[in-house]
Amino acid sequence: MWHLPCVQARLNAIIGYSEMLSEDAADMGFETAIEDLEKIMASGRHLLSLINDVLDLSKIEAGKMEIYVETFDLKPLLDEVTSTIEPLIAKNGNTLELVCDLSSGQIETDKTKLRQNLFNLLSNAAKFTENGKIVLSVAEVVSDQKAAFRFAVRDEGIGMSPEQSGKLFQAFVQADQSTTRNFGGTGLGLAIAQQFTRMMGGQISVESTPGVGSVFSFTIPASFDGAAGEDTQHRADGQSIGSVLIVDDEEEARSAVAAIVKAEGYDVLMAGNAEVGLRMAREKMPDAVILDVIMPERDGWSMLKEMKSDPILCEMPVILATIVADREMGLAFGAVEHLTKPIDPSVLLKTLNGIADGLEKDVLIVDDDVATRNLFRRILTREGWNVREASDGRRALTQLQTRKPTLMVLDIMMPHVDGFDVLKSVRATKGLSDLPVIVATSKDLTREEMSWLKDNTSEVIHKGETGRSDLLAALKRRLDH
Amino acid sequence: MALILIVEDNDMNLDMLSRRLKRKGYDILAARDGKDGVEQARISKPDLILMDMSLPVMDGWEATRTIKADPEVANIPVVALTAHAMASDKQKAFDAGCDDFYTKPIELPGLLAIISRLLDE
Repeated sequence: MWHLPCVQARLNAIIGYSEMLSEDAADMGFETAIEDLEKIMASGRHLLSLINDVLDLSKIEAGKMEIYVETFDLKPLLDEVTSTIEPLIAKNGNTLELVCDLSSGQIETDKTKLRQNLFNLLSNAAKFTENGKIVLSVAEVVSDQKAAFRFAVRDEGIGMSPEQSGKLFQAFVQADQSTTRNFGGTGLGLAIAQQFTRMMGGQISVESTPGVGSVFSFTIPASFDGAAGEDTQHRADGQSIGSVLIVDDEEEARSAVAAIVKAEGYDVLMAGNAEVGLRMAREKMPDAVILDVIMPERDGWSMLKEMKSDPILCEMPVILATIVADREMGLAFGAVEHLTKPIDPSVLLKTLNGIADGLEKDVLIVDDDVATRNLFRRILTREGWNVREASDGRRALTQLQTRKPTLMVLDIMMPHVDGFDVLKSVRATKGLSDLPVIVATSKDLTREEMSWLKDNTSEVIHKGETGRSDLLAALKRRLDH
Repeated sequence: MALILIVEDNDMNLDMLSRRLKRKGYDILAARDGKDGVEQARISKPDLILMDMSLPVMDGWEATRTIKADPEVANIPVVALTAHAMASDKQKAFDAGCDDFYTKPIELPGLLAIISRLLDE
């Protein structure tokens, strides 16, 4: 990994000097030079924001993003944000309206993160709307029985289909690959906005209609709940106890269930109908699904049936939730439990925790290449493994200290602390010395290295020419021991 | 006109910042590390200090704490200049006694607004 602060300093120089030159050019009346210099500035700023975003995300991922809570009035912040964003809004012929009727504008949260969230959503709206109106509305609401603020940004942009909006908050994903070309943007803004919202103890969501526009909104508590922040920190460390997908057509029912499972420490995914639910189940591979039976268009039975006949989804535990008491039928269809609405939190949690305890197949994948990690994760989750990841050796060692997995899949060539060092450290650590390790490497190993690895690992496989079947075979051999 | 001390070890940053502020009519004094910055502050008593935080010899945090602990110069406003904003940096800057905080890249209007506010112009 290159040294980011160094890149930032170079970019600062590019931006700064071209800004100075364009001031000079303006003084001297060199109109064409100004235009070109502004292109340099704009590119520099874009690159810098990309690097800042990457830095933010990696910090969040490593659990190192801190939160700085202060109490302040919302109104001055909103005025500052709207006046700063105004030129960007005007660029595409758009207008911005601020709707904010607050009795008390006092909030206790991380001001920088709130500001960045608002900039993120507003600049997105500005990017995707032409000659339209963008509305930022702020309202006092009650969320989880606590005073909260809801910030919503409505645009008249190109909008998205449900499957596009489902992927929106993932890093580097824009609704359509071609949007990057047409509209710019780093593709990281929404992923960061989501993480920041979580850190502030809130939730972010999107409603969108293709061709009509989108509403991005997030709700955060009026006073910061330290416990919620810690919880997020906890989860950012990859220590979530599992993820749960809730499929229900009624928003109220969804959020009620979400509140229960979230409080217990699960990550929550939500879908409003069976189609979206199936897609999210395939993409995100949650540890459990809570499924409403009665839904318009496609009901829960139908979704359950499709899941059970799908090789990827058939192992995923499903809890049915319905107003109809028909437990036998639910279990016959392959659900692990059948709960009657309104859902009793203690019964729900008992069922979920039972599922989570069953996740004994816990693997840590250590590789600096995200594509390789993704590949291994897909293969292993399909086999029912609970997957954790570390992007370098140092992170792997930290993760191993917090929780010992059943197995580690380890790359050799990594920055800072390489695979050999990780292994040495693992073998020398009490409690970890017996950890089964499969080394997956593309390095050409010397005879010495190979024999050392043979002594210290369960298996060495070569990445690239091998792949899925070899990894699975190695795993099976390992587990049969 | 007000005298501003810039403490910055990066040549290009120092060059840009001093030239741009000179254009706006400020007198500029420069120091290349934290220790030099503290000395210059004591000798020249500038009206305001712009302090980069990652400096050699003595870093910006330490230099600010030293300045704020010296009654001779404690009243001089210090603006912390940091790379990409981090919540902890902001907290750290205020803890060290900085009067304000600005994130690079420096956009002149924003920094000028802070400078004129602190100088009561």
